[in-house]
Amino acid sequence: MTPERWDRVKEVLATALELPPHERASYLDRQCIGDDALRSEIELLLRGEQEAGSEFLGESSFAEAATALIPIEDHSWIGRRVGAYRIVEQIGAGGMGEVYRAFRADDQYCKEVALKVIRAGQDSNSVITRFKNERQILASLEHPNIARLLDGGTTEDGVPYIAMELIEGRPITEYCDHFKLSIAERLRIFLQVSSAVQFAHEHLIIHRDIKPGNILVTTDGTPKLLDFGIAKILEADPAAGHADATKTAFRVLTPRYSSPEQISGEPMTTASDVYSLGVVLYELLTGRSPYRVTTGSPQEMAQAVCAVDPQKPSFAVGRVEPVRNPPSQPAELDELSAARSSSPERLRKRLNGDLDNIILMALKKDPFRRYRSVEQLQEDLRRHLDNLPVLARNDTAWYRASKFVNRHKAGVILSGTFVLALLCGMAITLHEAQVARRERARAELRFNDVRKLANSLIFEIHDSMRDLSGATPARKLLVTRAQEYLDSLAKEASGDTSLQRELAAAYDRVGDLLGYSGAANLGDLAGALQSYKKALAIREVLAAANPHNPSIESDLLNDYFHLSFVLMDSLDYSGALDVLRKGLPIAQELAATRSDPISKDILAGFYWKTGGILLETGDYAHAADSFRQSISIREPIATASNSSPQFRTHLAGDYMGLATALLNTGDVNLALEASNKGLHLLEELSRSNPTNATLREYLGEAYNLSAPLSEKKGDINLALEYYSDAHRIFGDLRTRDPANSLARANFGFSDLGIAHEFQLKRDIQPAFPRIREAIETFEGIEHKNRYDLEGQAKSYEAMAMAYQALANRESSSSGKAHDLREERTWLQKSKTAWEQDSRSGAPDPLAIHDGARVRKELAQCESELAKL
Amino acid sequence: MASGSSQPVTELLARWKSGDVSARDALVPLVYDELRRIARRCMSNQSSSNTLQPTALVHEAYLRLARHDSMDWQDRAHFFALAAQMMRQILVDHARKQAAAKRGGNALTVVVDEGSAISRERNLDLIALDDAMKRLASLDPRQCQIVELRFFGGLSIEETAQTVNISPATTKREWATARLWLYQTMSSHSQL
Repeated sequence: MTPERWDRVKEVLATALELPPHERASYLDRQCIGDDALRSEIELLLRGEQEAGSEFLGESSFAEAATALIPIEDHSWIGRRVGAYRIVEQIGAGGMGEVYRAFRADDQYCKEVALKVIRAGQDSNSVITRFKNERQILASLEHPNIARLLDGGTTEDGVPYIAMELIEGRPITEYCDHFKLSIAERLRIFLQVSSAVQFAHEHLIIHRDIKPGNILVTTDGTPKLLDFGIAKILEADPAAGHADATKTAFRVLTPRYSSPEQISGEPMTTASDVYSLGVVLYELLTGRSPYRVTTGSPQEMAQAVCAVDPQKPSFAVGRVEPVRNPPSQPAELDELSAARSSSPERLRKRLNGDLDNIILMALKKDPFRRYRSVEQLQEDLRRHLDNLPVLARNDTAWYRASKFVNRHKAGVILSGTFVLALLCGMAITLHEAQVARRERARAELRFNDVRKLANSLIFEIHDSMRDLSGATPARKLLVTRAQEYLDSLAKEASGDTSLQRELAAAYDRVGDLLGYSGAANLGDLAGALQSYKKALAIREVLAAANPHNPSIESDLLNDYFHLSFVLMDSLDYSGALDVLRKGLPIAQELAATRSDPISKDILAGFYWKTGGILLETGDYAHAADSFRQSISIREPIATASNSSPQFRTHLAGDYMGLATALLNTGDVNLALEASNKGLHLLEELSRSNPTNATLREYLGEAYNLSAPLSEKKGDINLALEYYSDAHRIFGDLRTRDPANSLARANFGFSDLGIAHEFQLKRDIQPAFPRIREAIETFEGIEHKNRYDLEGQAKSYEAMAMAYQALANRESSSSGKAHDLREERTWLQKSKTAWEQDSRSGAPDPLAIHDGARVRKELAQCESELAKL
Repeated sequence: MASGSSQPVTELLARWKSGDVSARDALVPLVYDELRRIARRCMSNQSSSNTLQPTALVHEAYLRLARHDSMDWQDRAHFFALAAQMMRQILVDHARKQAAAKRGGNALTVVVDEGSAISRERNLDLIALDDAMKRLASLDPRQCQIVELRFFGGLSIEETAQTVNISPATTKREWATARLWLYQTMSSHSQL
């Protein structure tokens, strides 16, 4: 074929192709006269038309060809040297990357390891940093049932990897099925597994990803746990604001074995491991998953984990299941029971009773109601095996009836479109939300501590958002989608007032989602700030263009308010005050022109918020002034007949704020007067709204504040009463809602208060259990904020002071020495805790002051000891 | 693989358009790098439903490199032509490397999931295509370029027509006939 020839062929071919098939023959007749070669050439090519079809060189063929190629390229790691290891072969692939068999290349003895490559598509720098932090502890975990973590690093391409002890074995569920282990045998192997988990807990490591795939049983029957704490290293850091964080969050999650609190993004505790062990045990004994799902999608499973009660194991062995779930196990009951060397009926009987109750207890949605430790679970299982009575019992009816059992009943993971609908929905202003009386069983408010009591805000409108804001992976997804949508909308919105208002409202909501979550970290706060500022920018322009428009103005005030809140949380006090100062004249004007109770409430709110910030900065005199102003505006509207309870609640907040300020300026009598007013209001409100948890929280706070005031006046018994009331309230709140970190902290503080009062009465012994409970409470908080750190430091100090009191009474010098040594130990703990607190953020004047005091006490204690 | 030049891509493209060959050479590694990076990123998601659309890749590379939305179509055309070439080079290189690894070397125990094994059999043999395209280029360079733009660059008929500077009707005919010739060439070879 020559180019010229090809030209000719092309020409005829092209025309032939454009003709309908039946006309081609005659066309070729004409064109190919005297040139048979041409004709056969063209006919050959034409034949290809049918065979090639549209796929040959079609759109999808490129994609398929490319896709098939490129991943394989990455697998050419075989034979490569990675760090100190040389890779031999691939032995598996997980969601996070491949796993290879490798050996140490630089050593005489060739120790084989499993090399896990982390390809979760995240910022590898942060993965490496987290790995370094965890490495010490993880590498120190030496236990016969735990696969050792050996090493880690990055390849030249910057891909992180982890080297672990190589375990060859089967997942525990497969192993037990393969060897048809009986229930008792399965329990025994499970006990070994739980020993390992318990061991890790004692070393302060939570596994976080317990599942059969991570529990391999070797040929000699030894179970080995893999990947301890790896999930923590791989967890995308929300503060990093990484665009892919949402994707990875979902990919890492295997909801089937995850605890409810893990799915909703709450802090994980040892109880979370207990839960996951419970799921594994459930599957070991029944061959089924605790939750029936139809589609098997992660969303459906996550919903079930958080909101659906698991089926009793003894029932589960009798239920009919779609083959899909789980795919690797037999759907037939006979097969299931045969794998357990039993029959369906015998299996059901075996599981009925103790084992049912034990497993269900491990699977409780509320971590507080599960076994408190893996050890407890183990003991119950051992008791069962020894035919002794077990701890786990049936649910009691009253608890099931309680409304507060399941915090996550509202949809945990909502679809993106639903949220967008919410966001784009009506531009509900604060004004309208306050008017709309929606029944809220749990308006989750965050009163921080006694000092910060004044700085909370009631936002009924955001309740539905709050349930969302508890679920971190879901929330991240929503926020990302929302931001994308909004930013794209912003480009088109200029000139269209109503669209702009909608846009501003939506930015507000995104800001709320980020800024009002229970444990907003700095990353979230920065994001919230950004969002609010965007909303503010739009609204300021609108306000300038539409002067004296009350609804635009109240929106604007809304923004100033939110902004000041977030700025305060970010510790930018002067920024927060500036923003409030900006908004004040607008609020004043609004209240003057509209002169309705709500506008006045808003204006009062500005003063109150200002007071709250001034309390933080220590400017107590001016804070008191601010609170007095808010009171003067609010009193008339709150005491009017038919006034909304909200005004009265706000007024109570005003009083408590004033009381706090006056307590610190030394005007005890006036402070007491104000706190009594506040207390009175709150007690009344709480009585008429007994199910409102928020009011109970306020009330508890008020008691915690009134107690020291009474003490100052010399009425110790009343102070004790107040602290005990607070203790009761927070104890109750804490039980009903274990995720409420504020209730826990205040529970601890009220314990310290009780102990303090006892000591003032010179009654030391009853103080000890209170202080111990406080210590337990604060130590038990996994992610401590500064308030919690403060509590921990104070409780150590309280213990120290209690021993000091004992020492002072002690006559024998050996007894005295013992007490003083105890005091020293506790003071040292307190000192460390204060130091930790001061390291965790901007210097807190109180922390510095208290830290210094502890050091002084420590010095004195040492000198006392030296004298003996 | 950074090129010595730190000139922005737009400038390089403009220079190339006015006949500066060295500008094209400077562009090659930039484009190549970017395409590889994007392709790697797409692939690292490791989900089988995540297929590689050539247009998307090239568009993205373009956006990243050019950073200039309102660019002369001619410049874009040049860019796409270059990108298509690069794309072809990348993929064919990979295919050849992989083929070499299979033939020579140690016994590799690569764990491949069944899905991809099956689809690979149905997949286009990129090496054969490349060889066939080289032969086509000796017969009709313009046709080869059209195939490159359409298949590796993902351009539409219209876009291809503009890039090569012929009418869409002609482009269609060229594409249709080239396809058939390639098919015939590749299938007759595979019978050997």
